[in-house]
Amino acid sequence: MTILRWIILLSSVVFYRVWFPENPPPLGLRLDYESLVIALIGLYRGVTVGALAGWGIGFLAHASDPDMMGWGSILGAVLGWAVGLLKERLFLEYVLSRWLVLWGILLAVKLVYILFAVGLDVGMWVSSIFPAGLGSAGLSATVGVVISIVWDRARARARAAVNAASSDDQSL
Amino acid sequence: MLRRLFWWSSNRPAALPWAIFISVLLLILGDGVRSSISSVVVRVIYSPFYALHYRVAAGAEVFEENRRLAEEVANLNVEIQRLREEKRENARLRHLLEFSPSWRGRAIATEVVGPLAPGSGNVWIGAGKTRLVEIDQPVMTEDGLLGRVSEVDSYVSRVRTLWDPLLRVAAYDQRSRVSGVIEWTSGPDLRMNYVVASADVAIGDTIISSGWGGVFPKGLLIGTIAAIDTINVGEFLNVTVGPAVRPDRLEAVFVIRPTPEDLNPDPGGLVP
Repeated sequence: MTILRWIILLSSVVFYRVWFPENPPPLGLRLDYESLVIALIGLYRGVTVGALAGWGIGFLAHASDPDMMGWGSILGAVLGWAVGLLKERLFLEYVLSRWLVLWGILLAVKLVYILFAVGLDVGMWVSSIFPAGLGSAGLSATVGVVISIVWDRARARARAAVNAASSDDQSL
Repeated sequence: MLRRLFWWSSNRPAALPWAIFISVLLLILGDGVRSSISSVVVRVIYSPFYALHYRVAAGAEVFEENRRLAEEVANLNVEIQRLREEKRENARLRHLLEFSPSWRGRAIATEVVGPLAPGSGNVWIGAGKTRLVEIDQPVMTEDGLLGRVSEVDSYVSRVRTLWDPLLRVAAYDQRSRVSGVIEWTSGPDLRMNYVVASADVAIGDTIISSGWGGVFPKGLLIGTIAAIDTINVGEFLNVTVGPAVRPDRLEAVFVIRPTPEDLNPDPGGLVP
């Protein structure tokens, strides 16, 4: 079941890359689905799984571009690891704090990708960050927070159901 | 130190160093290796998604193409209807041209704008002085003679048809050249008067204008003999003529501007 879940997750990343390619890469306003998935994995599964999943997703997402292949996997791994670490060190139960952390770290990743795309051209840098960079990070962070809220509620409901079932067993 | 870095960091596996190590290895290996790895990954993992994307995109294009073709078919159907109507009109005009080779005048094409009212015997047509229509000019349809212009306004004219009791047309039997005068008394049919009792006329004979009287040119189709009263025979026969023009199907009409030659035919040709 776990393997199937990972296969679906990775397939969704490839699906998103094929169906919604970066256009123009990576300067347009776009949901950074790959980075968001890595960040959410780091948020929920911690440093180790976050780093490994980040490496795999980063590798897969940039597999079609040999120039970015290694860099993409490094960035993914660092992203997963960093979110996991922040989750350990910071209190991220509030929606706003979670959004801020996701936004900041997704923006950082975006900036690195922009650096790869435009080099050290300051004018291009600025025009890429405003509004596409900030907007993409904000959009991705918002979607991530919504997903995490839904996920938390679903997990809480499932946990409550399990607890209710176990208490019923004990009472019997 | 290395062991701590790559295996256990505090109480968990050191995943990040390994991930970075493999990534750096990928970068160090060079473009050729990365390209090979890339092509394998694309072929194995990406290609089904590309194929799916291609099929869906092609399907969307087919849908769009289908919609465009449906619009085109609708437009072509309208065009076909228009061409069919023009074809029918063309056939009518051809029929008219073949029908009246004997007169050389010009025809003014127009339409009936005020249809034949019961008991009236007159119609209004959509051409008047501005189109050089004049009083007494003959009016016909593609089927045959309809009547003559009795009143002209700037843009419309009144036509006294064959079903007006005041209209009379000099005519003859095309086969036997027997002459008479066409007039209307009642009913849908016409009457051919002044046909002597011994004249050679038969049911089905074609009746055309003779050109006498100076109004109607020679050779305009009026109708065919529908009945001959052989019981009440006096000095003249009672000849009933079925008109070629259907009064309930008046649409396009032609006002004829005859030449002087049309209106002064050789009377000798009419004598049987």
